Order: sequence, then structure tokens, then C-alpha cells
Amino acid sequence: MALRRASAQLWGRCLAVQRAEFPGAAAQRVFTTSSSSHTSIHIEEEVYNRQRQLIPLGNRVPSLAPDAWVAPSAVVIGDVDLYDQASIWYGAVLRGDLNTIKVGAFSNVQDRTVIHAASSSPTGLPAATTIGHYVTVGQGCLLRSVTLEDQVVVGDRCVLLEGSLVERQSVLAPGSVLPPGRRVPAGELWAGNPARFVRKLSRDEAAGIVPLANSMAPAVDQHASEFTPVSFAYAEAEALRAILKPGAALADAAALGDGSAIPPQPLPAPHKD
Amino acid sequence: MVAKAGSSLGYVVYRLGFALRETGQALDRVGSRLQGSYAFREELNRARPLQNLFNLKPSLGTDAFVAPNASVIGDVTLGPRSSVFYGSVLRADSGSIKVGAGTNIQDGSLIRTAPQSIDEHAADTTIGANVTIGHQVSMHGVTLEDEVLVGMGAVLSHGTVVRKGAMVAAGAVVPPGTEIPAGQIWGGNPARFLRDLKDNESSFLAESAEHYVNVAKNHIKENSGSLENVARARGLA
Repeated sequence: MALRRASAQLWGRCLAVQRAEFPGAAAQRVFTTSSSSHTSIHIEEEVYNRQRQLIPLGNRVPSLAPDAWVAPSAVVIGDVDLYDQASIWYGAVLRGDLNTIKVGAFSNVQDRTVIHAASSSPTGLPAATTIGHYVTVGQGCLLRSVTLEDQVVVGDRCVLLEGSLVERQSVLAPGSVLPPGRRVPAGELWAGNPARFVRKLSRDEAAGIVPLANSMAPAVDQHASEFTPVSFAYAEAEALRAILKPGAALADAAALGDGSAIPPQPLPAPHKD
Repeated sequence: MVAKAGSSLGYVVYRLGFALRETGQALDRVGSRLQGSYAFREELNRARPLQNLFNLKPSLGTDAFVAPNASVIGDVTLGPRSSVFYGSVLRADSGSIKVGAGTNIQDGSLIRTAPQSIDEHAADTTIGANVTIGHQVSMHGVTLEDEVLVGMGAVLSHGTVVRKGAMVAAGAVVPPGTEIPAGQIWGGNPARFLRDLKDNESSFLAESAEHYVNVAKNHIKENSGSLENVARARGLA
């Protein structure tokens, strides 16, 4: 009974922290971003970088397998599903705000690749972005509303446009541009801008696709083990607050709790494109 | 006590250190919960400009510049006065990346090593001195000799070698295993020989690198201060 009361008290205190109201726009300023906030931002006062790895967007929530890995500077927003051992590397952006993005098991999305999905497609091709299992997407690519079947390799800095489809065991050479709605049949190598058929993959090359995807697993372990589960950056922020003037934005933010005082932003209406 | 690179005892010490860090955090979270504080849920950016991977750690020459939102990870060697600009990623987890003195790597560029490729080229990247690498260049297991210029948005695949004083045009896509001879300019997708560089163009390559060394100096000055010093300079503290 005493335990229940204690735990109720604990929750009450937590909620109180959440619901507390904070005077002044200056306090809010710190935890809002410059893009769509109600208050004006003085960029010289922004000391924090609030970029996060996982960002839920309304009812669109990223879902990750326990052993999937997202690099600390990558961003996974909205309706994104990462299957077992999928890895998202530094600076990549997977934005599932308009439609679903799926990254299959043992697949990897390399550094600074951008994956997006349109809300609907005028051609009737699927507008969601679906990436199969054992897929390697190179660095700096752009994928929008595309389908990659299992065991595909997309080279560095490829651009894959709406409705394009890469079938099983095909490879796109680095720097290719796959125009909207283009289909790459199974087992072929395509290259160029716009991408064209080059040749059939040899047996050895096709057999190398799965080991290539699997070879990322030890690297993922290595990178993941550099980060403790929870960030300690707030400790640095606390140390900074201690030396700030009372009126400075960060000093006010000490009372802000978890930032729930910010009114929720209305989501933009979905648009057709 | 510092983990000795590579040895198995070193690895044990390293893992022990990690376990202690995790345990400390867990205790901190329990304490924060008891206090009714949400401190442990604060979500600040955890990306680091410099990051080691067990015993592989970046080494920076004197006056090297790494932008605060760039990622320099693993076995990366940056020569003196070299610069890595904003949003770039240099990731050396299964090979090494070496960048020579006075070389600049512009914003959003990517240099990566990979444990494997489907056609077995080396994953190490070696970049010479006074090289200019343009914005959003993508490289993977390449060798660039001194005073090379790689244009904006170029893609250099594994096994590419660019000889001294050569230039890769903007937007070029250099296929795997290409060798670009000294003093030539290559461009297009796939990249092919365009022409030899003229004398005034060749002399510009070193000037370009020198120019960016000076640019980087200003960026070092603006970005090197601690949070406290930045706050003081802004009149907030």
C-alpha cells in the first residue's frame, strides 16, 4: 500500500513537471526549432542542436527491430519500418511523413542517403518506398517512392525517381539516375544518366550481393558500441546553464522540463504531387 | 588506465569501461526518476565530429579543421592544415582514410571504407597534399595524389587513382578501377578524358588549396571555443 502511494506520488510529480506552465516566450525559444516556431529565433542564442535519430510524426511512428541501428546523426522520421539488422548510416534521412518506408532485414542505407515517399502516385505505381532484404544502398543516394526487391545493390549517389523498380539481384552502378517508373529486370547491371542496361551480372557478382550486405554487421556492432543507451549531453547543458545570466535563454530553459509546454504544431495538409 | 590498442587485454578493459559507463547511466536514470526529473529524457544531438571505434581513432594534424556537424570516424588521419567542412562524413571502419597536408574537403562530401565490394578493390582511401575536394563529392576506396581537384558532385568509385595535378570535372562519375593520368581533366558519366590542363589551370590547383587553408582558419576560430566561451562571447554568461 505504501509502495503504491509512493509510486502514485512519483507519477504525480512526473506529471506535474510535464504540466507545469512556464512564463515568457524566451523560455520556449530554446526548445523550438527555427523552422516553424511561433517565436522569433535569435540564432546566436541557440546553443543546442536538437536533431534526433527517431522522430514520431503524429500517428506515424518509426518502428525498429531491436537489432536495427540508426547512426546518431541520421534521421528517421514518421512511418518507417526497419527490419532485423537494418543499418542506417551517418547523415542519412528516411522521411516517412507522407507514406510508408520499409527497409528489409540485413539491408543497409549508407551515409547521407535520402529516402522519401510521396503520398500518392499519379501512375498507379506504389507510392510507398519498399526496400527488400539484403539490399545495399550506397552513400549520398536519393530514393523517392521506389521499390527495391531483395538482394539489390544501389551504387553511390544514385537517384531513383518515383515508381522505379529494381528487381531481385540487380545492381545500379554509382552515379546512375533511374527515371520515374523505370523497371530494372532481375540479375542485370544498369548505369548512366538516364540509367541503361549494361550487361547481365555474372554468377560470382550475384553471389557476392548477400555477403556484401552481411559484411556491414560487424561494423554496426563496432559503431553501436561507441554509444551508451542514453545521452549524457544534458549534463553539459546543466554545466552551461550554471554560468549563464538569469535572462539568457538557456537559463530559463532549466525550468522547462521536457519541453511539453510547446503547443503541438499542426501537421501540414497532405498535398498531391 | 587506458585500453592498449589491439591487444585482447585492451579489449577487455575497453568493454569494462563501457559497462561502467552504462551502469553509471542506469544509476543516474534511477536517481532522476526518484527526483521526478525528466533530465534523462532530454534529447540532444549525440552526433560527434570525432569518434573512435575501439582502437581506431582519428588523428588530426596541427590546425586541422573538422566542422562541428561533420563526422570523422575511425582510422582517419588528417594532415596539418587540412579541413573537413560541414556535413561531411569520413568513415573508416574497415580500412583507413589518409588526408594529406593542406587538403580541403568541402561540405557534404562522403568518404567511406567498406569491408567488401562486389569486385574486390581495396577500401583504403589515400588523399595527397593540397587537394581540393568539392562539395558533395562521393568517394569510396580511391587514391588521389598531390594537387588534385575533384569538382562538385563528382562520384569516384573504388579503385580509382587520380595522378598528380589532374582534375575531375563537376558531376563526373568515375567508374571502378579508373586511372586518371597526371595533368588531365576527365568528366561526364561515365568519366572520360576531355583534354590536358592548361598551365594557368594547373597552377590554380595549388592556389585553390592554399585559399581554403585560409578560409578554414576562420572556421577554426569560430568553432573551436568551449560552450562556456561561446556563451561568454555572445554576452549570455
